[in-house]
Amino acid sequence: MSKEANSTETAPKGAPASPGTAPAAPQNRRGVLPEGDASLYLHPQTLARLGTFELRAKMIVEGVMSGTHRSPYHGFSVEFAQHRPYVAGDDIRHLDWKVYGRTDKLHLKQYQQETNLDLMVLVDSSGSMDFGSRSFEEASGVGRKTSPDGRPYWSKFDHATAIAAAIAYITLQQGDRVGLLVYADEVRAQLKRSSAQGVWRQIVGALSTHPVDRPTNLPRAVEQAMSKLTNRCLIAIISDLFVDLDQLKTTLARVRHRGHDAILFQVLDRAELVFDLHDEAPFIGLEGEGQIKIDPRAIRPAYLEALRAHLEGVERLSRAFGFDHQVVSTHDWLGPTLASFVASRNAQIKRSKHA
Amino acid sequence: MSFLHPTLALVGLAAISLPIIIHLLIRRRVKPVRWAAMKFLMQAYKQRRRRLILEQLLLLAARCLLVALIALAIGRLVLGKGVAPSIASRPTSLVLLLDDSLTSGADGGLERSKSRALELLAQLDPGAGDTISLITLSTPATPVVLPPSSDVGAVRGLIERLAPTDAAADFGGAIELLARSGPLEDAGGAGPRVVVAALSDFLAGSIDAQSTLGSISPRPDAVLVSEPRSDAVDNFAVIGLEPLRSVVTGGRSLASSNQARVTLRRFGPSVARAATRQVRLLTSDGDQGTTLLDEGQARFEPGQVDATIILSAQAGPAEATGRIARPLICEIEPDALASDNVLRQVVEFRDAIRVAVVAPRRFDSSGGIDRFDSADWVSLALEPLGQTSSPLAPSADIQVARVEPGAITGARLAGFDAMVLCAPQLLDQTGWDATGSFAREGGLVVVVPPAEAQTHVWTDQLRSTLALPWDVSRDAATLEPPSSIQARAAEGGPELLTLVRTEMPELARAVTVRKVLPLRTSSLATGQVVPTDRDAMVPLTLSDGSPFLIAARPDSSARTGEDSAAPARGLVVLFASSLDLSWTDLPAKPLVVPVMQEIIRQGVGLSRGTWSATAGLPVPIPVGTVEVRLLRTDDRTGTPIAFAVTPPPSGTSGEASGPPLRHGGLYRANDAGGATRGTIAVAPDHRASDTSAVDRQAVLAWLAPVADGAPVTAVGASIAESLSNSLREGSRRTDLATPLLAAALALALLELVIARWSSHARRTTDSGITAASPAIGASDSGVAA
Repeated sequence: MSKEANSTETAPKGAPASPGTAPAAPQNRRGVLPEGDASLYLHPQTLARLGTFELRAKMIVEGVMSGTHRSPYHGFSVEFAQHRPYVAGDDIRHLDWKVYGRTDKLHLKQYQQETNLDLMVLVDSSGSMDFGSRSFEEASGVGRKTSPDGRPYWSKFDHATAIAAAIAYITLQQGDRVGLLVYADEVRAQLKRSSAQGVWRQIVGALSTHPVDRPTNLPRAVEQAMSKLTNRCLIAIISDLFVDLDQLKTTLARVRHRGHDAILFQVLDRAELVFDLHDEAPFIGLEGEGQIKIDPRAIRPAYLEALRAHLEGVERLSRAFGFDHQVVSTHDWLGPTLASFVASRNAQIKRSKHA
Repeated sequence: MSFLHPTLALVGLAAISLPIIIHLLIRRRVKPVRWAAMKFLMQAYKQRRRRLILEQLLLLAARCLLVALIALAIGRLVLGKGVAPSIASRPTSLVLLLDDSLTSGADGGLERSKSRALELLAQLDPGAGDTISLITLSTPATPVVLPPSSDVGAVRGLIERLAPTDAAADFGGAIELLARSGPLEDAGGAGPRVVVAALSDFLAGSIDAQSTLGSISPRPDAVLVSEPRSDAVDNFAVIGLEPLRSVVTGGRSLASSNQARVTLRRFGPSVARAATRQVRLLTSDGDQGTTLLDEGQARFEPGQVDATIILSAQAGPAEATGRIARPLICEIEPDALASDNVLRQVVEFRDAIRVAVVAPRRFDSSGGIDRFDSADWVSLALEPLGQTSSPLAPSADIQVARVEPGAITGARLAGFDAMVLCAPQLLDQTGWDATGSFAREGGLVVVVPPAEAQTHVWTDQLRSTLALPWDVSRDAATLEPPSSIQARAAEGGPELLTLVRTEMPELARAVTVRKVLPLRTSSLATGQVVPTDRDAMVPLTLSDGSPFLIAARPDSSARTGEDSAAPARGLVVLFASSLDLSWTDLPAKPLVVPVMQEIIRQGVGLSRGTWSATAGLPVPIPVGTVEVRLLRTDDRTGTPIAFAVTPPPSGTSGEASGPPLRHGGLYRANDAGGATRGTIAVAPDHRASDTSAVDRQAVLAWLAPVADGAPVTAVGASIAESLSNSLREGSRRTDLATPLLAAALALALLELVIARWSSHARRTTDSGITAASPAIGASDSGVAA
């Protein structure tokens, strides 16, 4: 039997998350989680595309219930793991009598325990995520011209919300638990892990109204999140990852050290990736970096080179720690991207399992 | 190094700030861009900052330098060699005083002056900021080019087209023009170097040595004077043409009454010798050309300057019909100055003079000569032969009509040339108003006191209506003992009794005057014997000197002291005594006929006035004239040489005015309907006919006040060289405008290249980063066993 190690999550096991059980969860102006807004971020076609996929843990995870995922504990299950010599006190019900008959020695028969997956979604709500060059109407696909908070553009945070909703949906579909943690310079809000079917709507509702305005401090936020996770989880970090590679390395090392699996969704806007602006103008940073007047055409090569180097660094670090890294453009439809990613990841897991 | 146009240079250099201002304005207007990936932007900017700053500085410097080069080019940056910049950079403002007076026509004087002027112009460099002013000296001095112009070509054309006028030189006016205008304002300062060049032969006719020229302040830098001509030129001029009658009647007129007095004057070395000149007197008809009236020879004795000759101006029968104004032209053989060899005057030819005798009709025509009243005596004197059509008087040239005093109106008087007012006491206000208008419009009014009146209050009406400067008593005075009358010598020009002056003393002696209306002119009232009132004449006096016959222009008191160009019109003649035997026996004496005849004949001519003027001086213009055209003797319609006349302001009594006429000749004054209002005779200014040489030092001394201490240099043929040497020595300057413009053009091209390069607008093959470019990390190394 899996155990619940997260002592901070006080909600009853299996109960859907509610605003009352998530003290720091964002609320709209009326104090109610806007579940209805989930449709703005998770298109039915995307759901249909992802409906047949499973999000599996690449590493061993520690769930509280039996499930499809390997557990670090050996117990009584259907999948044989190994034999071990009998010692006094062992339950004789697990003796392998066939081995005893052939070798005249007492061995216990052990099986690989399978457990459920806890997915912890960490969404970056720092100021840099409030950037976008795509119209909200075109990105949401539901005919609404502005976001719930009145923005006419589809920000990276909106896209991060959509990713979080999508992977939460996949996870919930396969019966696993999903939790949410919104961070910027620290943990700003969280939703307890739950396997209730409606939790993904709460995730979207919490994210759609969350303020996006603080500077980023990923190591601190992850450290705070780690302190609340006692079992091994799959951590999905959805961010633009505009952090120093050293800090990122430290953060990933800590995640790896705790035994968690991690997926890095790096959300970037097309304008950031292409940087095809033409007019000289002052550029204002969204996290208090100040203002600088430049001619975009003059520094475009250097900018792209710096960004490319950063992306490669993130990719390299994620490989080094065995994590997956996916760059997601806000101008791309989420369904194909995530489907491709999940399929590829599952294929890798399958290959590693049979290796 | 200096600027020819420092103001433009300053403005241009100030414009260097334009690129910076434009940069700042654009910078302020651009909307900021929110950007998330500032980390990489800053990183890229730090890498490229130096290069970007360098590019921008280069571009800014190129643009500023481009503006600076254009500013320097527009400001005409010049480089001087060997001369202090402040001196070398000063351009020259040449002021030409060119003598185009009548005198300048002597022996090609104007052509020499023009040639010198053109030489001076050739020394100017408009590109260096040199300017030229041109003032012609014929009266009144004309600022042909003033303020100064740098268009030397245009000034050259103006000079080449100059021709001598018939006016005298007006140096004083030219100096006043200069003093009022701008060329000399900056003289001596940082402005242009001012050089005044007076170009003339400086013959006696061109200078007025008796006058003192004013000075110019601040003084010019130099005054150049063309070398005064040292050899005189012989010249004969017609300076006077005086028809003895300005109104010539035909018919029975005596030949002597149609004469003209011609006065010639000679100048030059020939004065010491005897000389003769053939004088021709002509008249002109537009259809038949000129007609020779008379000719004769004027003789000059050695040392004699003026000569007078009387020529007959008798018009032939063809001309003596109707009422025609004809020119009287006097000419002599052409000599050094052809313009003053011809003099024109306008004479009115008519068949008869019509006189209105204003007196009540006497119904009792019986009785002898003892019952004649003033009107009867006047009529008898004017028509001694009566109105009979006899062989002796086929057409009387004085026609008398009696008019009732109560019937005097403007329309009634319109057909008359003169009116004899024998019953002034019977005129009502309308009559007096009509009389005043008649006199002012050129009519002759003869007033004879009524014999029967004891108190002559009409004299008040006479004085007030006609504004006469007379003091006429209201009460008649009996002279005890009776007085005789005397003819007073005429002062100057034609007077009423000029033609009978020789017979007058003997005829006047027999006349006795017993009763008079004491009258005095205002000047006589102050004790003066000779009246000084303008236009006042006293041809006959009593034995005590008091006037017996007095004449004056209407409105004389109002015109006293007034400098009017318009000739006086109208004439009022007043007898002190009634033409009645109880007052005087004059009506019964032979004198009454010539006196009355001459009063009418000469008075009509004097009252009509003559429209004559001297070239260059103000021109009298008939009332109603809107256009004046030069009338040539062979061109009836007049030449296109014309000018419009500025009418006096409506509601005022001012006179029409027009530009001065500098060429002698006859001018036709036309009204708005095209009708001729009069013919104006403009005579050459005979002061300018003096072609005598003047001493060089005297000329320089006369001109010295103009320079106000600056050197006055008289130079001959080398005037241009003198100008060049004295003012431009070592001031060779190099104008950098063209090289600067070329450099600006090159820099503009360079700026285009730099701007293109620094804009980074060139096409690049890097399309940026795609989201799928980083591969999905799938390392197995991290998978836990």
